[in-house]
Amino acid sequence: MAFNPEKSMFEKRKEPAPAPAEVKQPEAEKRPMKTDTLPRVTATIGKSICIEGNITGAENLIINGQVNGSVDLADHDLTVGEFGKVSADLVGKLVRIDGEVTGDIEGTEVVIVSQSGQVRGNIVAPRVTLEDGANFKGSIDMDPVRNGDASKANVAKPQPKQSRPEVESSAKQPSVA
Amino acid sequence: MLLRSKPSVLAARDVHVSELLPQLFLGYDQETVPTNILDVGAGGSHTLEAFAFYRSKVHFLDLFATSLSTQGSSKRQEAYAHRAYSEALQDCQGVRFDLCLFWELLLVLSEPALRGLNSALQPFLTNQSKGYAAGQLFRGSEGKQWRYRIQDAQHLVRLPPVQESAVSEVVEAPDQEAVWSQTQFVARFDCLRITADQLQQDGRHEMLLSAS
Repeated sequence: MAFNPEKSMFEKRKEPAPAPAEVKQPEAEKRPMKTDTLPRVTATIGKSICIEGNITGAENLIINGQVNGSVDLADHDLTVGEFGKVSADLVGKLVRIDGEVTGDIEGTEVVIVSQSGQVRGNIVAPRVTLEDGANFKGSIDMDPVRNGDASKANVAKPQPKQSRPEVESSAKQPSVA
Repeated sequence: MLLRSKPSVLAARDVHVSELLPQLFLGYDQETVPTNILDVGAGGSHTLEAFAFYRSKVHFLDLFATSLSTQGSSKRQEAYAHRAYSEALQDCQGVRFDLCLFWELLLVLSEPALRGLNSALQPFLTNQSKGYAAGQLFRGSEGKQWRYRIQDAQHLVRLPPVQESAVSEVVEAPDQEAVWSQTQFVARFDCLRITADQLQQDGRHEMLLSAS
């Protein structure tokens, strides 16, 4: 085979590479994103993260780390995970406490202190659930009329029976102590 | 305060009609006036559920979590109890309780503890304050130390005996039939006077109390 310097194997490398195929983006990605159709985003503060300061946001948040300051999520859900240690006032729509919180909690819809939750502070919410085993020290301010939840107060309010005459008991035994 | 209750697992038979509770709820205008409630005892979520339909603020005071001295003279123990209960109530500074709910303990506290609670609670009451106490005064035929909690304006719910030793040691009344007679109780706890008192055959005991 005759040597052809113009077609040497080394020159093959100099040949222009074929143009890369155009990466076609799906049509959906070209369109402007509609945020209201996206699944709700939840941010997470991991176990090893420690934050000093104020947190605000427009998405749900799970705190598994340590936060000192304040957390205000207004219309979004806030969860203090089992490993979360929060020393801050918390505001959220649905606030769930599985970890430790020192500070006041305001839930515009509901506050849930779960079995593993420990709260030292005051809770303000139209609905509050304290699960069996929850550790809580403070006060709970419930106003069912707040946030337009007036229907609950009007519809379900239990009616006490008519007054009955007082029953004075003489059945009580004297103390042996 | 460690909350111990599980209303979801309660059977229908555990709900009992109370003749005194309706009297307690009469006269409250709870939609317009916020009611400050003190829940005294090993608390549970029942009080929250019962008052969820009212404008209310519930404060919890777990006296079982408050360590008391059993050493020294009665006066010294009383002073210790007063200090301990005052510290436990420190978060409620400035609050005046409209309603105090006492679970289990009011009739089984020792004399110094009862006096200490009486003096510690006094500054937090007004002459409009009311109280309600319920508990198992003595073991009934079933031989169990039931606990009672408020279900609604007419009913009490009966809960199984507490298993946790930290509470049961304090909660359980001695085997004797009663701890304090009414006369003895009044002499030791006079910040709220007894307006009605009921003892059922099964040992369930209820009291309505009033500051006025």
